[in-house]
Amino acid sequence: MLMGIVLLFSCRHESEEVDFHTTPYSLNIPHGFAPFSVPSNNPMTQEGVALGRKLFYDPILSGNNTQSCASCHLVQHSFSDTTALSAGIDGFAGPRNAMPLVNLGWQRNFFWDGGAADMESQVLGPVENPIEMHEQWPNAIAELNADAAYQELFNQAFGEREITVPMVIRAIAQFERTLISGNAKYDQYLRGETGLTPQELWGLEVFTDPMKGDCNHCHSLGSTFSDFEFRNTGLDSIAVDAGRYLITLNENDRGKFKTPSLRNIELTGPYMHDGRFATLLQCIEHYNTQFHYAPNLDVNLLTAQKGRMTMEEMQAVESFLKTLTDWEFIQNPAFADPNP
Amino acid sequence: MKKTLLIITVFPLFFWSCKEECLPPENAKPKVKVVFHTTVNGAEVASGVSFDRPGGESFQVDLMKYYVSHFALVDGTGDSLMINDHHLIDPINQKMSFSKEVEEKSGCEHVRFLLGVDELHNHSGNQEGDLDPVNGMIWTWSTGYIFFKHEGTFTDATGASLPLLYHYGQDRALVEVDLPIDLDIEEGKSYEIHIDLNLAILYQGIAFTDNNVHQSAGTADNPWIDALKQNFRGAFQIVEVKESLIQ
Repeated sequence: MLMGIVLLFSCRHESEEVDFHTTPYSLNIPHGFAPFSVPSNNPMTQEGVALGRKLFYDPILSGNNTQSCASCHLVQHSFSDTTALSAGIDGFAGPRNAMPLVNLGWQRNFFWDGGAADMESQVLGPVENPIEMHEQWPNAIAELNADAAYQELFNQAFGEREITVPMVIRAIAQFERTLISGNAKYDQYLRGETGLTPQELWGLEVFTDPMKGDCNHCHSLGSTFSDFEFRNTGLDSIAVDAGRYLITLNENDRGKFKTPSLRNIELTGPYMHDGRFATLLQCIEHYNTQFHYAPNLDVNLLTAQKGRMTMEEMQAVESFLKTLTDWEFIQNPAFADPNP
Repeated sequence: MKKTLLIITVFPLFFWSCKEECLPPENAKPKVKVVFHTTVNGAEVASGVSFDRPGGESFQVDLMKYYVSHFALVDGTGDSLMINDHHLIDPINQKMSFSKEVEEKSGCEHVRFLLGVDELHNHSGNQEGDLDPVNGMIWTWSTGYIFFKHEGTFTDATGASLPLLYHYGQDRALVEVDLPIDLDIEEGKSYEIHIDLNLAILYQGIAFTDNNVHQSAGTADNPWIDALKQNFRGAFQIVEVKESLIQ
């Protein structure tokens, strides 16, 4: 019996560590896509992803418990909103369109102006933004810690019952990294599983033609259809929203915004950082004839001839863009609200 | 009899479990504790207390926090003894110190630390400890830490009371502080280094009346950042070094 006491005493810490284990989550990287890296302090686990999904859909993170991340990031719209400017819990609209959440693991710099350098940090902003979820992190953490079910889920995911901000943002980032789209008609076409119509193929040709659409200069073909650089695309002759400048304070960045992904673009309207365009055709027309010669206008537009595409060519580009819609993605049960 | 057996059994067990932690004092690793005092000419700041400043003005502190990073004792060759990574000093809530067991080191001539968070750690909220975003010291719309935060009120020369909100940060705001010291760190001893941040020096030449709200958010704040950065270098002073035997 005494030996038992000795062993129990000396092994207490070791046994506590052994008790905690997680199940690795294997990311479903589509054929032809390069893998992406995850932060070393936030490895993907089944428990972390499940917890992040629950938090994403739970209004507990908002000031009056009425809005969750999913309130403005609707799965059926590739996790974007249908209004130009989403309203927060107090009914005030923010200054920018809710960005779609798709293939985020390949992205760098988050928000339209790139204000968050990593996905975990991105989660911090909307919760505390007074015109979005309008909550203080200490309050949100206190609410979560008062919930025994959440404490158990955090214990399963991170080995700690005492919930902290880093644990919350890591869980949500894990879920967001699973939002992978790679089964659009265009992907199936690349894999030789289906064909594109003549109209869609013509659209692809115009999309990539440097004398026509030249869209792929910034919306590079691949996992995201974006190079995620910051550009002034001449939406206004004098930028109403200073964009990237607000982050870098570099005058050269005034009016610049991140090139958004075109994945599921058919589902994510209205478009641009302020949701000013209702249709894809309006967007294409902007790049064809409507852009302003703003001081920081991107050089690709500065050197592009206005009116270089016909209406038929623009409609063909629109048809091609619709081949980037991944219907399986928005119907994926793993992305749906898990809360009862 | 049972009690005797238990004592005989437990005593060696206790001795065995403390073999490494309960070293004889003369061989104990030295310990360095650093205490930051935030004062106005020696008077510790406290909530609700009014402090005079030149020109008939005064100010109060409701909230004050600042980051001290990479605190090190440095010898004449430049070799350093690191005492901390990042610590949040919060004088209003009496969070003023940090400590560490260290190795012996003779001939320490400098205390060096950063006021703020280095560029490597400054742009991600995915961090724990004192860098946990729950501390309210991070800008979430443009990820970066607030290096120094003072929220309170001030009274101008006419007697008018105005809010005072200073959020000091950005990479350009990082301050390297270098203070002279003459110290040997020896086995079996503990040390307390007391450092004063004198707000009277920090705010020398800073006109609260020009702009009582600075959030380090625009280029218009750069002259204010640069002026405070210059003042920070002279506002820290080692006021006492205590040395004692580890008991």
